[in-house]
This record gives sequence, C-alpha cells and structure tokens, in this order.
Amino acid sequence: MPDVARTWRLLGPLVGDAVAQLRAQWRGHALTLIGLIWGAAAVVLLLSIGAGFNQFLDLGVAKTGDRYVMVWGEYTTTESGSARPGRPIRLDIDDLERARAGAPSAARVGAEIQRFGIAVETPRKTRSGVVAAVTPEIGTIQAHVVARGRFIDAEDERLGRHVAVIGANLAPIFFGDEDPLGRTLQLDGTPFEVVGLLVAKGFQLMSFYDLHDNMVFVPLATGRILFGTGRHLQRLYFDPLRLEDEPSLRQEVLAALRPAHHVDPSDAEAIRSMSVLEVMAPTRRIGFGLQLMLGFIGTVTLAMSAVGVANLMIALVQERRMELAMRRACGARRSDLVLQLLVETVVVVLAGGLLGIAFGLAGVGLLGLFPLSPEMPSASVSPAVVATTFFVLTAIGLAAGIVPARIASQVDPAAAMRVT
Amino acid sequence: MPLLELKGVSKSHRLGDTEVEVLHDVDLAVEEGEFVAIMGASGSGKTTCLEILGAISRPSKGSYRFEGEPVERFSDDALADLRARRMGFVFQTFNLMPRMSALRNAALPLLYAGLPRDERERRAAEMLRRVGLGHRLDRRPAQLSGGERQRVAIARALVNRPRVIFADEPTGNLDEANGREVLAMFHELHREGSTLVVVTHSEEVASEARRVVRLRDGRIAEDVRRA
Repeated sequence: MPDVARTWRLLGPLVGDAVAQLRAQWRGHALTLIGLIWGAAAVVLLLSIGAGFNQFLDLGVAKTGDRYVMVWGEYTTTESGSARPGRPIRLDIDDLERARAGAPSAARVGAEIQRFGIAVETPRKTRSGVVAAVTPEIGTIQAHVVARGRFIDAEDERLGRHVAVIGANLAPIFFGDEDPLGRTLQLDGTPFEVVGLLVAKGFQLMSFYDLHDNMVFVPLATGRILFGTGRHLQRLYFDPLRLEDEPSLRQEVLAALRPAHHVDPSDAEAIRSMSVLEVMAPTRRIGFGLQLMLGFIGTVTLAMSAVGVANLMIALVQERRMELAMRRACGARRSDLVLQLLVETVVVVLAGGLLGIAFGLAGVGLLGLFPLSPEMPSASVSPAVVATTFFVLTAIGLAAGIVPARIASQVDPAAAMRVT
Repeated sequence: MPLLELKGVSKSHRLGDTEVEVLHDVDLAVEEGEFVAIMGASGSGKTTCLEILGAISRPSKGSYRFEGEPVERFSDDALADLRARRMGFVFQTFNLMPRMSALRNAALPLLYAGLPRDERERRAAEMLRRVGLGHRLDRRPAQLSGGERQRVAIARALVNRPRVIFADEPTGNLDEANGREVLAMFHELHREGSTLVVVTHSEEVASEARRVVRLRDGRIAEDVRRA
C-alpha cells in the first residue's frame, strides 16, 4: 500500500526540485518541450474544432426549436373497417383540439400550414414567397425571437386578424430603410398589417420551403381562408413538458388522433410523427464521433512527444545515478524515487503542455478570424477542452514517467560509494 | 550489546558468470562511541564492509545486528528508514545535490525521515553553523570550495543525530589543509561521544581513530585498539 502521508509530505519538495531542475536544464530539454508544445496545441486545436462543429449543430437546432415533436398525415397502409389501404389522412382543425385534450405530456400544442408561391407585395417590391399560417404557440415551439413588435397572439387567431410577422430578411427587401411595423403587406392581393419583425436566425439545420428569415407568418385562422384550405391543417407541433416525456407524448398524440381518422393502431404510416431529438441523434453522434476522432489524433500526437519525454527522462536517470544513489543512501525508499521521477516527468510534460495549451488557444483565436461561414464557428474553446487537455497531459506525463521511474527505483545505493 | 555487529559475514558479487567473494566470514563488533578506521589495499573489501555496516547492501551470508536488531531481515523500506534515522554518511566525492543550496543538501536525510520543513531547515542550519558554514546556507555546491562541500556533507551526515557516522575516504578529494580540518571535526565528534566508522587509505586519517581494522583479501588481517 502506498504511504499517502509520506507521498504528500515529499510532494512539495520534489515538485520544487523538479521545477528547479527544469529551469536549469531547459535548453537541453528544448526539443522535447517543442514536441510537447506542438502536441498539446494540437489537442486543444482539434478538440476545439470538434467542439465548434458540435456548437454549430446545437445552435442550428436551437434556432428552430430544439425539442418539438411534429405530426402530419400520410396514407393508410392497412385496412380499417371498410376503408382500403392508401386512403389519405388530412389533419384538420378538430385534431388540434383533440391533441390539446389528449396529450397531457405536452407543454404546448401548435399548428401550421405553409404555402409557397404566394405573391408578397408592397409598393416597393413584389415577389413570390413562403407564408406560414401558425397558431401563437408556434412562436415558442419554433424559437422565433421578435426583434420589434410582437408575434401572432391569441386575439389575432380568435378574430382572424389580417396581421403579419415577417422574417428578418424581408424587411429590407419590401420596406427598404423604412420601419415595417404598421405598414401594409399584400399576400395574394389581401392586405395584412405588419405587427412584428423577427430576429435573424441565419443558417437553419431544418426547414421546409424556405428559411424562417425569408418567411411571412400570419394567424392560422386567417391563413386557412387565404390559402383556401378550409378545416385542414398541414402539421401539428408539440413541445414535451420534459425532454424525457417525448416518447410518451408521441404515443398520446397518435392515440388521440387515430380513432377520429379511422386509422388502425398498427398502421404506423398513416399519421407520422418526428421529433427533433430523434432527427438530431445521428447528427449528434457524428459530431461526438468527430470530436472523439480529432481528440484521438491530438492525443496520439501528444503521446508521440511523450515518448521523447520518456527517453529524455531515462537519459537523465542514467546521468543522475550518483544523485539517486545518494538519495537512497540518505534514506529514500525505492517508492520515493519512483515518486520523484514521476513528479519530474509530469513537471516537464506540464511545462511544455501548458505552453502548448496557450499556443492552442491562440490558434483557436486565429481560426476565429477566418470563419468557414458567418454561421459556423471554426473552433470553440470551452473549459472542458482545456480541462481535458490538462488531464491528458497529466496522464501522459505519468505514463511517460513509468519506465524512467522504474529504472530510478533500481538504482543501487551502493553506487554512492563508488568514486566516478 | 555492541552498536554494530557482523558475525560470519560474507559478500559475493557476480561478475559475468563468476561469483566473486569480496568478504569472507568477517566478524566485527563496534561499540558505541568508538572511532574505527577500516584500512586495506584496493580490492581488500573495505568499501563492501562499509556498505554492509551502512545497511546499503546486504550480506550474502552471516548476520548483521544494529543495536541488536537483525538487519539482514529488514525489508528494503526498513533499511531505507534505518539509514534515514540512525545513520549518517560522508563520501569521498561529497555527493551533494548540485541544484540544492547547502541548507537543503544538509537537510536531505530529514526529508526522508519525515520531519516537517521548518524543523528540517532549523536542524540543517544548526548543523551547518556547527561545521562553520552558517554564512553559506544559501550557496550551492558549485559556489563552495572543496573543504566547504565536505563540511556540508558532514553536516548532512550529522543532521539526523545518527547513532553512527560512516565515512568513505572523507579526505580523499581534499587538499592537506581542508583534510586536516575535516579530521579535526571527526576528532571533535568522537570526543563528544559519536561513533565513527571510516574507510581510508590514509595513515593520517587512521591515526585519528582509536581502533584500526585492516582487511586483506576480504578477511580481517588485523584489529588494533589504541589507548
């Protein structure tokens, strides 16, 4: 059993000796230190690039809602009663109420109809665009952030108001430098008052006809008339109360909707559902795998430089046999010399490694000056990246010190008696 | 009970395929307070004898008792603790740590004996003052003369208040004046009651001792006590 109290007592003086030794001999260690600096910088840079990619994924998801479940109708694939397979299922306004009543695991329920090819017109510009008719809950579910004005609200929906909220890219196109709030926008010739302007989302990981920045949002009740869709809806959206409620929420929604549409419970295709978590799972795995791979490459680079450290320390042990023998003669146990060599190796590795971390952080800063796109961070430093690198460095330092420490522990104290 | 007692001690070294016996059946008892010089030609086994007495190596045969305790049965860690707490060593080449100050060099055995830092430094400073180096505490070995280095080594040997001090050719690397100074120090230590075992070629060093043990071909050829 290691003597913890003894180890703790020796640690301070041994660290002091190791630092003094490194300061005295750093020129001789220069090549090894350069290897360590390179290795540690590589670990920081590669982990940060991986973290940047993952951050990009997270941001891309968060911009359009990071937890919702979406439900839409397809075609039946099994017989149900007298109905043959292949019957289209079209969700309608009653399904919204059924879902609200039958999905206790939902924090909020919303509905949407999107249409492309709608003529969007102002005195300044006319062009074809995508319009989404939505319930007020969609604002939260799809993470729309209002820059000015407001989003669609319950009164708009209840009264079927002709109001519109526009994506960030549309304001300069249709209104130039003028304030769009309170101004009129024609959708297929029907005037709508602009009541809100959304914050730009930029790149989105998921979208249907267009990015949210390029879309016009109107109340669902108004949109249904504008699009002539009658009672029909395109998609229902649900936010779970808690992330772990997502599977039960899907079951609740399907159970609430299937009977009304005479869909056999075994027919998984008639009413489809998709969750962001499900869609993102493989992407997140790819991101994690990428970071793992980059971290592995960096660690291998660092481990190669650790071989240099091990060689250096072995050479130093041979050079310092007399000193080590003297320590043994003065009462050092073999385990004390093992500790001494491990401490010395870790000090060398950390000295180069901490410099490498500093260079790595500087490298991340430099990469930040040249982003791949305005939306995508080239690399992202987090305390976890630095902590991981520090942990890897310490582990590598200890590993590199094992062989030299073992050699040191074998030094015969009688060598102190031999005149050299 | 003798402080140190070798009984029928032999020591062999392996040189390639051959086993070479460098000590043969040595019996030697050293009482507390004795000043013993071990002499002999090169290869006579005197350094090997000192290594065994100093618990630095184990006998191949026979027994070694330190204050009556059977050292040959000690574990490796117990031997290290014995050296750290009850023995002091002075070497011909001083064997100081080049990057440590005189103070830290002198305090080294106390580190392994488990004393706290303040106590280590207090006792090391006291010993350095005693050997006349109170003004050189912060100097490194390279900043000291040969005589001063050996005095640091003596302070290191004394710092743990050992039961016995072992010295291997302590004046071998010193000029005449510094050698005399070291001998005077040994004389003083003996007068104060310390037990000293010194391996030497030098008749002058041996003349300070009260007992001279001469080894020849690994055996005790002569063991003379002086009045």
